[in-house]
Amino acid sequence: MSFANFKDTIDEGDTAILYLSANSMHAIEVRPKIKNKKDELIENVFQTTYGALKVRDLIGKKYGSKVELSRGWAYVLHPTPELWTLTLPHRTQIIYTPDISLIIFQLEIRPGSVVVESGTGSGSLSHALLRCIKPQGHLHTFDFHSHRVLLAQEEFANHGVAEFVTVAQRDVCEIGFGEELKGKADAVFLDLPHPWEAVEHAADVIKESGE
Amino acid sequence: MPASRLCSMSSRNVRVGDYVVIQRQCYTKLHKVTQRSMASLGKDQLELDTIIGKPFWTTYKMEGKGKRLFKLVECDGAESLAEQLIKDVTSGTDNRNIFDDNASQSLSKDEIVGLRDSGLSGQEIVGQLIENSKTFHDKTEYAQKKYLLKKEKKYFEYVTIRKPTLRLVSQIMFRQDPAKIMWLRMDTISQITTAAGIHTEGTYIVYESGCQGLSVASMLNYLGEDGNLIHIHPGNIPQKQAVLAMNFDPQHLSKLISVNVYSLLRMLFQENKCEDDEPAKDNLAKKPRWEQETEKAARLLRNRKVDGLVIVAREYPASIVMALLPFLAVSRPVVVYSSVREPLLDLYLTLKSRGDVVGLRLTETWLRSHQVLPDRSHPDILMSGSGGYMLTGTLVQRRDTSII
Repeated sequence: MSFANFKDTIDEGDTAILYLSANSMHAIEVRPKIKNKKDELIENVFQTTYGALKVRDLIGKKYGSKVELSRGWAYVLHPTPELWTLTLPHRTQIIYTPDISLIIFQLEIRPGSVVVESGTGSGSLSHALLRCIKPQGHLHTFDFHSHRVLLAQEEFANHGVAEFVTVAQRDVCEIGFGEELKGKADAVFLDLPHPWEAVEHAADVIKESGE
Repeated sequence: MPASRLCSMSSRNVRVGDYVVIQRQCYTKLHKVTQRSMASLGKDQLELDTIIGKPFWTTYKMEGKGKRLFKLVECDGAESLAEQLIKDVTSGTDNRNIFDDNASQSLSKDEIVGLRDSGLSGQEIVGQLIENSKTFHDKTEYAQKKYLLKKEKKYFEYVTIRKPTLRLVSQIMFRQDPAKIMWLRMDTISQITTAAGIHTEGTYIVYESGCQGLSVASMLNYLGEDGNLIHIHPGNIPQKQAVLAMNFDPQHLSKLISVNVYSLLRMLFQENKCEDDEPAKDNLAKKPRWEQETEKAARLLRNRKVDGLVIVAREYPASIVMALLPFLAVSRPVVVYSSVREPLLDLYLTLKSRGDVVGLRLTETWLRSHQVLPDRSHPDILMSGSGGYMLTGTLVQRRDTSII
């Protein structure tokens, strides 16, 4: 689906990026109807400063094309990790693209790498890691917050990348990354309040020659 | 294609023809391994034949054969000179009684050179230096450690043979001669490859002129073996040093097509030649390699638009960008790098007035490294002045047409 590979046309269920201006972009899940607060299914209409967009009109449109809004127009773009980082719903403070670039570079990961990440947070870095390592690589990501784990799993599934990632709830500082991952990772990334507590566990997980 | 093949590269052994990175403490150097190679590290000459057939990441001890020539002997790991020598040493509390009169070392320069030429081990030489120093025992612990680390830099006798990675290669090239790679610092390289949004199965164009193949190597690195990378260059022979240094295996390298810009554009815009793939096959053997590559690239570009356009040019980029933008698919990024800012300013305005490139951003990143030691952590005193500038944007539907 949308994040797994490039497509030309928007299908129902895709995540498309509505580009109004450089400072105004929104990620839209392309569904003709959505549930309102009373749990009723209503027509999915997205409001912007340039007017309203009937989301169902996006289906069948080409990525990169112009869409009409009631008081203007906007572009609809193919989702990428960079655009997702700028439009995703924050559950935690996220890592932005300049740092993400350097992290991927320094970790020396490439297609096929196995990466371990903790904490998952809002999944900003995760999407970029996935693009780098798929389709043969795998990302194991951990967060100790059960709701964040759930949201991350949903997002990966909606974005068509669930087969390349495993999200689990785990306090890696306390109990490490698990027996199955010992000696399997090409790289470990830690973004935690007390990363030094996870360093020993990280060392266990890394392959004989890895970062 | 199993993942194990990609991952097993890290545990491969050194072969003749490989590039390796020779690391001695913080000093790293790229070297191509030949049958009877010798590498020079500063003033020392190393015989490298013992590393062939051994795995990467093996550490070797330099055993002196006299006259700054060394043989490499495999060992378990480097031993720190500083730790060996600091064990039973007394130290002072501050430097109030230490006078810097250049007379603290009683061994003369010639005597020290003699010790070195005689093939004594690094540890023994530094031990001699300490014994003959009047002030060493008055220094504080920190000062002693600093002294030993300084000596260690000169007399360290362990080297590690490492496998070249993009990170290592770009650091080495930037350190040795940044002008040769258009001041493309490693953080900017990482920004470029991320902005270009490399997917393993995509097709990308990189126009590179004059950074030793570093931008090509970086994109090929993240491309894996299922995508395509068309390297467009001026002149007949592309610069390839960085690509060679990465030891890409032949299957991976086959994804890279290097073509001359004029040949490619000429071939693409000559409609007459375009559809006859059949007769061309008879003449395939007779055509020179560059023409075959150009045809390969042209065939790719006739059937599809690319997923990313990267331009790293010494030349003024405007006309190159205009010539290559038609090959980019919509909703895909264009990335232009320049070591100075002005060409990108002009390009920004030109692209903005075209109306079909959105999200245009001109950025520059700063990179600063830190010394990390207990009680002594701080940013390094010197910072690299420039890593170049990057202009990024996304191509969209043209304003004047409803066709994409």
